[in-house]
Amino acid sequence: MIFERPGDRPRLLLIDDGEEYARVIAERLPEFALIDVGAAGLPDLPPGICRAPDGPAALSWLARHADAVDVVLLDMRFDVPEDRLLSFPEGTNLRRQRRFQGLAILRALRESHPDLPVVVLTAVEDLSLLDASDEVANLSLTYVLDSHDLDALRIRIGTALAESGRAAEEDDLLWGRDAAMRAVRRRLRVLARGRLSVILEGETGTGKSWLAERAIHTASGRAGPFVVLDLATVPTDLIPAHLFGAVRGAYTGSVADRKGVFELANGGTLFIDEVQNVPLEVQKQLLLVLQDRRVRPLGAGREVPVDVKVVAASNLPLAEAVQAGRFRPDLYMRLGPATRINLPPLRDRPGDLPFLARRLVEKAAADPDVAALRDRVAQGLGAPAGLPMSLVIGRASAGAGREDASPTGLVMALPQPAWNRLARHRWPGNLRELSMVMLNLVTFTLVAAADALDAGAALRSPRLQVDPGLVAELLAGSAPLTGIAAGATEAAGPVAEAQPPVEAGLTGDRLTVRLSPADTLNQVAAAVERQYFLALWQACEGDFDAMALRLLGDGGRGRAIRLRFNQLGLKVRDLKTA
Amino acid sequence: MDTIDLIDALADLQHDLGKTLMVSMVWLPADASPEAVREAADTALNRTRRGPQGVRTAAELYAEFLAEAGQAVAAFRRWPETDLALARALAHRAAVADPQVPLDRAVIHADFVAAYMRLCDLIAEVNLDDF
Repeated sequence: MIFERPGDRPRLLLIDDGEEYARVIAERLPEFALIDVGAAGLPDLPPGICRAPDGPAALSWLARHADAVDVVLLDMRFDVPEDRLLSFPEGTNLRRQRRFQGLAILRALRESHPDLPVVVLTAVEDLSLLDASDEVANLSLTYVLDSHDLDALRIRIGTALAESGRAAEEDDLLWGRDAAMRAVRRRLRVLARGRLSVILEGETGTGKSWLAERAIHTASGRAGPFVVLDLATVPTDLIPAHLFGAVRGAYTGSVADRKGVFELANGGTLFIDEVQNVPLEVQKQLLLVLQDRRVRPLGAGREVPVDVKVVAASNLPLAEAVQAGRFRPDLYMRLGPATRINLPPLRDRPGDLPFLARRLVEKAAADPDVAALRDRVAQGLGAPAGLPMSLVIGRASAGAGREDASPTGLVMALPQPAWNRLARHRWPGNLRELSMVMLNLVTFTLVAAADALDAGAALRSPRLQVDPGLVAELLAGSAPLTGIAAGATEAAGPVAEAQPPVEAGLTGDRLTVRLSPADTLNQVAAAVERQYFLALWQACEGDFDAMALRLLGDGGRGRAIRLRFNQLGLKVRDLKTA
Repeated sequence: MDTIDLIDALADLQHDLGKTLMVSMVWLPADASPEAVREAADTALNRTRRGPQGVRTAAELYAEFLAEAGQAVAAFRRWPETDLALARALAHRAAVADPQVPLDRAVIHADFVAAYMRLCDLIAEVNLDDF
């Protein structure tokens, strides 16, 4: 029976109009089992057909049997009749719809089965022609094969299997399912081993110290301690003594010998937070310690051997500090730019927000400081102490007020408009800020319920509605830090109702172009075109088809606009990063 | 024919003809028998693509491309070498069809892969040349 794992082999669903992949996988990759979709209930296909021949067939089969699939292999081009093609944006010609049909299938798959790993059998440069390489790269659990090498296919399938098997949460670490965080997780598993230094870069609140301890030190297997030195909290004059230690009398006020963090972390891991704060004159000394693995405390005549794995963190790109002359390039190289890991800000991981919010509500309700309040409310409902608390969002929260005979948990019900407000917040404080907001939401919501009980109200439902105004209040404090017009953004309705923000620059019939009087006519023309393209790209929110509609009157010619965009030296990746 | 249409036509040729030729050899086990090599090459050359229009041979696919885009593609610097590589790959048809003629797998492999690679190079050139 196809739903059993034949010999525990991972089960692959191949979506492909041709037979080549099915044949070669059956013959050359016997460690995997191709699902016989014909035998497993795909209409119009006899047993023995080990591939879904088009998108509609695959989606209809998956709707019933997704649990039987470990990894999906998806071809890109489908030479199938027009009525078997999933739709593309209006204006895309039939040839291109066939050529990029895999992308339409992928979009539908990510919509209906977000947790199903997919290996896309296509070349990256093909996707870039449709401006889709970034889109695919950012999709969770989606991998591009980009090679016809069978070992590469084995590795991609193996990676997909390994990553899909990993939980979104692990030992208190809330990883989420975002593609960038998966990549971080994958790299950290490797970098945790051995003595190589690691650079962690990320905005404040992205979890650098948490990851350094839980994902690097713990996984490193090093027996020594995990030691933290936060250079944002150490006066500049004292940084050398904190780093390297000092003997009594080495500096004014030094009344006793002091061990530095390298000695304290010997055999373990040293986490240097805000490493960019190391003064230039001390950086050379730090470099020597990293190189020689020996440290000389200030004023001491001897060196002490140290065995320390260094994790250096910065909330700004260290490469920029190097370019600005504030950080020695040799120290940067010694720390190892190749081991640099960039932690994405929360606003770039919108797909993870519901998961994180739910888990943080559960954690907040279990917090000892909140537990008494939670138990007071549970008691008022006639429920035992220690009741867990969960979060429901949007429509599910509309059931608030329903009476449950014997509640198994408290429910914090967040109305959709309040959730929308959270979802479009820029989270300048990242995970730390989200954590505090959820803790406050839980606390305030429980306090409101407890106050009602104290006032004599008889609560009958474990569903506690969040005051929508509370979310706005809690977010107001950090909104000005995001660099956006907080008032305008926060006052807007749900995300879908928000107006595109950049149109003003063009619809106002005015575009300010920066030119130099020394420019040639060609340079002027190129500069005007480049800046016009850039402004239009922003106005169209990066949608090349929308740009094509504006410039050429044909929304199907986005690719032509993309090509011109590239020729003008504009790179989507750079713009998105910027 | 504009550049975008030419890129589409070339991408079709690369996928339907170039990739089929290339993977027919690349995916063949190292210890494949001479018969298996002949069968793989024969399939790649003579049953190259199945689609809504039925089964087409490599030569038919190439002829269709030339009819559609031959004039437009001729202006590109890398076209002659691509044309030559494709002709060299298709020239194996005669030997493949005659069981009396021994096949040199290494040569077929090299020619099939070269056809694919030249098409990739040509597409890169056309992409850069747009506008």
